[in-house]
This record gives sequence, structure tokens and C-alpha cells, in this order.
Amino acid sequence: MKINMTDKKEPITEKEKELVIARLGVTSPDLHFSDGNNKEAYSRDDIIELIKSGDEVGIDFVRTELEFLRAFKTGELLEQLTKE
Amino acid sequence: MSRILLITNAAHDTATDYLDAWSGKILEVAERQKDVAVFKLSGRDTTKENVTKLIETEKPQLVIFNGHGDENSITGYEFEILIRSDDNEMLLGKKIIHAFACSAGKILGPKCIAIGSLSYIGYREKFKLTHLNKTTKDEKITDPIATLFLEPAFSAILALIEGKMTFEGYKISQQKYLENLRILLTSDSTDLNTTVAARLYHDFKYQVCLGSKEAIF
Repeated sequence: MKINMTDKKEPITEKEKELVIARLGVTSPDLHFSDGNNKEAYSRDDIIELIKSGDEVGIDFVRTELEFLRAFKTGELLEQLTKE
Repeated sequence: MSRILLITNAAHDTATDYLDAWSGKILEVAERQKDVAVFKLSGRDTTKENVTKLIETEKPQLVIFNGHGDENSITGYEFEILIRSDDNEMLLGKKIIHAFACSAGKILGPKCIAIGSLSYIGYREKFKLTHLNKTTKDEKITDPIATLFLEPAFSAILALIEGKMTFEGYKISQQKYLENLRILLTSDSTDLNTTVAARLYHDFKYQVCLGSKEAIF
């Protein structure tokens, strides 16, 4: 089921949210994230909560992760990394 | 002094405090050049009025904005708009611009080039910073996670001050992003090779270089 129609971009699924939360779960709790115009620096656990609640900051975080994973899958990232 | 540099540091939250701390590197490199005069606005002084006055009176050839923004604007202290599309971007005519202003590279950057700015390096999506939320300036400069993001980003600025062409500065920055991505992706630490790499890749992908590739400060 597609959820979180926060903007005109592709909606994020529950499965995608779960995937990103799982990836976040193995990172250090000391990491903090500052994005865009948000004055706050969010901790790992803050971000997990924001993803779960469907907040715009959390959804944007998920999109960044998915974009990276897609770049892996399509070979776009590897192509960049092996360029001289 | 034949070269004039203006830096604005909003310095009002964690992300802009990190940029402010890292600006020390800009000042060090500028000082070594001997022919660079630096005008710096920080914190509460980073207002539209002050930026306008300094640009009009000192005529800097290179302007560095360390703050926030959106597709149409660059902001200063407490999000006061310093430059806005279809308002006062003319102030940046004939200048080289580097902007840490999220997404401004999407609309405002191209508009600056259209009205005669020489070149623009910035980001066409949100700039994403990951860090350890350090408190002091020294800690922010040596924060190993923030360094993965800020070293590539600032290398473009330092290259410009050292007299390299805009596109060279951009390429140096892009190469640094890739170097750091390789470090992250080959790391045994799951801390680094997942989320941090994804965010660094985002900054690499959305960094833009607009206008004249040959423009030199």
C-alpha cells in the first residue's frame, strides 16, 4: 500500500520505511543529521521516530537512502566511483 | 589588495555553526594569498542591509554564502533573505558565487548566471550534513564525520581563492566527494557504509557548477 503523499514525488511504502529504519538501526547513536532549512540537528533515534510518524523530514531521509540504493542497483554509483 | 572576498556566515544553528567553524580554513588560505582582502559577516550581522552595503561599496569579485536557502533564495541570520530571485540577484552580477544554500542552485543560481554573474557553485537539492553534534569550533573542525562532508564542499571554495578556474574547483570538490565515498563504502564499519554514504552521495550528485567554467577569482 502506498502512503505518505507529502509532495509530488513518488510516495514511500511501509516496506521502504522499514528498510531505512533497519539500516539506521546499525548506525551509531552518536550520529546527528542536519538537513536543509531545519534548525535542529536530529539524532538517529529522532530520525527513526520521524520516519515512523511520516514526518516530512523522515520521509526526505528515506528518499535519500532509496536514491543511493537505486544508484547502486543501476550501476550509476559504481560508474562514478571507477571514473578516473 | 586586488582581490576582494565577501563571506557571510549565518551561524545561528548547528549546521551553520559547522560552516562558520570551517570558514576559518577560508580565512587561512585567503591570508596566504597576500592579495586578498576579506570582508566577513557573521551571526546577527548577516543581514540583507549589510550584504547589500558591502557588495556595493567593496565590490567583491567572490562571494561565499554559508547559510540556508531554497530554490529562490539565500538566507542569513535567522533566515533573513539576503538574495532572492527577481528581487536583488542583480547584486551578484559579474561575481563568482559559492553558496551553501539548499536548492538555490536550481532556480536562483541559473538566474544569477542569466543576469551576468560569472559562475556559481552550489547545490540544487538540500545540502545534507551528518556530524557528531560537537560543541566547540575546534571540535567541529575535527569532527571526523562532518569532515567527510565539509572537506569536499570547502575544497571548491579554497581552490577558487587559490586562483583556480571555477570548473577546476568544482572538479576538485567532486573528486574529494568520490574519494570519501570510496572510504565509506570500503569501510568495515557499518556506522559509515550505510546511511552516511547515502547522504554524502546526495551532496555529490546535486552539487552544481554554473556559468563560465574558466571564471577565476
